[in-house]
Amino acid sequence: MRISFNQKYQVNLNSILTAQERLQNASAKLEKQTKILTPSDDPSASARVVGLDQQISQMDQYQSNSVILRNSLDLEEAALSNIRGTMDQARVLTLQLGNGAYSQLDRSAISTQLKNMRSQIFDLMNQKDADGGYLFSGFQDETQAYDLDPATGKYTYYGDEGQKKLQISPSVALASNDSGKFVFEDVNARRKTTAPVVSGGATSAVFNISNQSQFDDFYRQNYDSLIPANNNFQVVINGANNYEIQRNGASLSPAVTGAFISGSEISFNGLKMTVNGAGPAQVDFSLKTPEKSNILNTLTDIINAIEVGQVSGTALKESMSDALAQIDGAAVKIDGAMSGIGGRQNLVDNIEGGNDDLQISNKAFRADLYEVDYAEAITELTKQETALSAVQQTFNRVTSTSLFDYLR
Amino acid sequence: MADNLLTIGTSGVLASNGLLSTTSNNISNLNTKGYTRQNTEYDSSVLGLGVGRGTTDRMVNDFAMRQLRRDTSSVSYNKQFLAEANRVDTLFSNTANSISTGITDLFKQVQTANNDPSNTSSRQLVMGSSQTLINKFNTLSSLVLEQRTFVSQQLDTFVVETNNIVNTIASLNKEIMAYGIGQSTPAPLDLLDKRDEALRELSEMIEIQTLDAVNGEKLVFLNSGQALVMEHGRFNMLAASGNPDPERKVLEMQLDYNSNILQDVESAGLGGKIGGLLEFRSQMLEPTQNKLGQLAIALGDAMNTQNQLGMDGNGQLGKPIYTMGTFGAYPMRDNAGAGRITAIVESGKGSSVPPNEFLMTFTAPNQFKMEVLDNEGKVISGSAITQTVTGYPMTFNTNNVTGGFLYGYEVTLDNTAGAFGNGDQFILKPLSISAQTLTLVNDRPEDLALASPVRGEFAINNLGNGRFGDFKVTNTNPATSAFTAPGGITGAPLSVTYIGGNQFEIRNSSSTLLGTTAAMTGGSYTNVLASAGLANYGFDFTLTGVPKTGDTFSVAYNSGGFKDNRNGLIMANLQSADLLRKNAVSVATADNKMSLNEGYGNMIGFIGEKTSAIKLATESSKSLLQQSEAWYESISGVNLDEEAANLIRFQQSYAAAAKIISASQTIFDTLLAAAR
Repeated sequence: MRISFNQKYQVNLNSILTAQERLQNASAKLEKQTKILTPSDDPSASARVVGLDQQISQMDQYQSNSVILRNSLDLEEAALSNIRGTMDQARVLTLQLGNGAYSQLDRSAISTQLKNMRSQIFDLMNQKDADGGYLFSGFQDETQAYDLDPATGKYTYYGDEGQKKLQISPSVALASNDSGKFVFEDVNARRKTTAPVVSGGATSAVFNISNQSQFDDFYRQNYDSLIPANNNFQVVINGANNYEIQRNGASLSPAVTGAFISGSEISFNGLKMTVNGAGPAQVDFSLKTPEKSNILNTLTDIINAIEVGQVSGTALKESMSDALAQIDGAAVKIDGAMSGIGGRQNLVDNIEGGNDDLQISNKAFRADLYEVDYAEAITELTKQETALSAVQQTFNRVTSTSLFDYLR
Repeated sequence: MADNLLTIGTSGVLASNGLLSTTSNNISNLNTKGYTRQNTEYDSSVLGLGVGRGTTDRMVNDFAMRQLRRDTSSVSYNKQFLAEANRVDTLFSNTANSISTGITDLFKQVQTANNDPSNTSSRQLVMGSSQTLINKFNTLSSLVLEQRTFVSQQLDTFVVETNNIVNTIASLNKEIMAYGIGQSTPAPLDLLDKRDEALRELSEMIEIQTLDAVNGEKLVFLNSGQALVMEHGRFNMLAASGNPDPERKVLEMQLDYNSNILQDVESAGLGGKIGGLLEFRSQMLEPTQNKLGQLAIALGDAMNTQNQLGMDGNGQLGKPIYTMGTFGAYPMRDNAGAGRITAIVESGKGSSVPPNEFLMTFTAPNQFKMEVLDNEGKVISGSAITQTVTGYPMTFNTNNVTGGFLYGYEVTLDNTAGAFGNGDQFILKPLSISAQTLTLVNDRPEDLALASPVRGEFAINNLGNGRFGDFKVTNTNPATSAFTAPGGITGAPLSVTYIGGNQFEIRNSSSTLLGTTAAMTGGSYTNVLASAGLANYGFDFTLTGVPKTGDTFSVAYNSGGFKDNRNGLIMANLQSADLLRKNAVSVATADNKMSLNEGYGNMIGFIGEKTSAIKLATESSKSLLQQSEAWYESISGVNLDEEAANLIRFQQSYAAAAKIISASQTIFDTLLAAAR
């Protein structure tokens, strides 16, 4: 094909320009340390990298949330375990009250120690967390969890039920605190009956709960909060010295009957009733309305019984039974809360470990797509440099030949 | 005989002279643009009397020229498109501007605020990163908008250049025609060269077809068949004007006999620089801008909606944190009426907004139609929504549109400036400015609503172990729910009592019975309020566990609950929620939604893929052009070596012919000497 003068220059110039462009490109990749200078270099990888960046950043956030969550749980666990320890000490002291050899002064000494323990527990219940809000107040972190209500003399919970959750993975948000309402407040007071009322031929009656758990079962199944009258029971003793236990004037099914012997115990669902007198007679009693008593109020009750009431004998035994049953109930609740915390701590550890692995593989994938392989890039750079110098030399050779040089 | 020799010698000398001058002409015009190699040919004279007439011709192949022009157009189209596309491509490769990192940062700060909701500084960080994200949206959008303005300005410049070239061709046509085609007049070679060069320049601007007229004129047409240069030196001109948006110029043709008549010119088949510019705008720039605008609207609306479902740092119901402004529709230039249409994004419907523009048509007496336009500006079939106007000003939204769907917008028709005319059309393109109009309402950290507005409590003396499960808040609008402004619930605290048989009674604070639920399956009582016939309260809840008859629970406004982060957790999960609509028209079962990050990734992929395709097209069209140039140059290009050889040749023939003259002189002298 015939080559014109202009063609010769144009073709060689184009080669030089192309070689320069390629060299520029190779050096830019090396300098910016990426294979993808602009999205057009690899459109699908660019889109993929956008998605990966979001995942990596989210995962980092979840990991830092996990750290915060673990700290919160550890703090709560420490507070609860201290409270639990103090409760154990209080229980031991309460048991000592039953020592027959103690006088009122001895019991007063014990009650002073119980007061100290109450203050300690009160302090721990109002513990503040790392952010400066109250740990056990639920969502009301500026309100102190427990405080003494001067009007009633009872320690009342002023927080709410809320649990703040932290997101530690795309689908798992774990609670970082427990509300005082669940852990401290929700402790049942000892289930009892009201004082028995005798009428007719009965002279006196003494009720005693011998098997508290059996009585608790009976109570739970039979207490009726909609119809209060259903909580009234009667022991009806007829003239033939047979007794029947009735509920709200109606017989139970199956009917509970038996022979009545004055002074001997009638056993009914863990309740031991000792009635003196002769029939026809009636003893009325009711199931006491259910109450809750937190540990602070429980301790207050026993302290008041010793110091204000100065009780002894049967009354002291009654107060002690109340206190022991309620301290046990409170301890069970705290144990439950602590095992819940333990479960959550395990879960956080597992999820954090899993997230770490995911994060590594995400970062590796991103590096694969985006980052430059140094060996490859430097080779490319050297290649383009060589190509450019070769083309430049060719230009010189090809364009310097002309017939006019050889004409005379 | 002697005078024969003289004649022959003279003709030979003259012929060699002519040949030499042609060769010298070729050598001198080596660097002249558009010069084609000239060749002189001689006929021998009759009766053996030397050299006859000589004709100088241009060495040119019409097919090679046409191919060269066509490939020039193609390369110019691709180069122009690529130059513009590279700017957009580079814009989105810069991670500092990246919307994706901005969105990720925002949600990271929301998560941090969730970890400690009552801390003002972490809330402040959320507002701060909101502002940064908005700035990124604004910057990117204004850079893209700048490019659009640049395109319009470029179009103006190109149109002026093109018109100049068309003018030149027309006047050259006239001059060439004046020369005529005859034996006696030599063809005006340099005029022909000039005209061909002008045609080549024109093909850079626009792709053209040429037709040879009988009288030597060349007629020029666009690919669509519209005539640019016609016979007898008449020509049409191109014009650029915006209809309906004055900022968005399109190409039109002014007819020569009446410059007020404007014909539309299709931009799709135009080719050349102008075609590249216009196709870049409609295939890449505007879709990118629409996708960016759609991201802004989806994010703003989703955050607003979620914020309004929560309780803010002041204990009040959340308010919107972003505003997106009102968008006006552009009326077409030839609308008869003076009615105006405006639109806003309907609160809560941001995820229905498609990445398209809309065409609104008003048909008398009261029909209003809204259709979706695709990238080329054509209506997508099946997208029309027609409504009847019942009075002015008329507002359409999902509450009063048949089918309850208006692509996420609330449209208002207003005739205070004048009534609507029959057939009036408007173009609504909110996405072209929505990324710029997105602003924060204010940056007070307390406005972030991280807490939930309701909370429930169980009565401490309950016998059973019923507990509250999750609360779902769906609507806090005081007009349509049980919430009251600024922060409260009507009849709160509500009491929920278990009455046995898996049923609950709901009472308000004055113990009035509000409703009783149906018997629900035990163990987990879901949607208690809905079951009690109170579904329009705006929230609902679940109760778990086993309650005993008579157990009560209370539901109240979450006053003082500043450590609550339930709404904040949902807000943080918006990062992965499906907030963007993919297509304007699709079937009900299609997967038509995607998350914000997926949408951004799609946009990057779109830009990258389009630019990469144009890069390839540029390379391939460049190599095609090189081929065409090689063919053209091989026919019409001057080769110095060839001309050098010719110089020697014609010098020698000149010397030889001159010798004939001196030979004839010698013969004549000899004759004269003999006759003395």
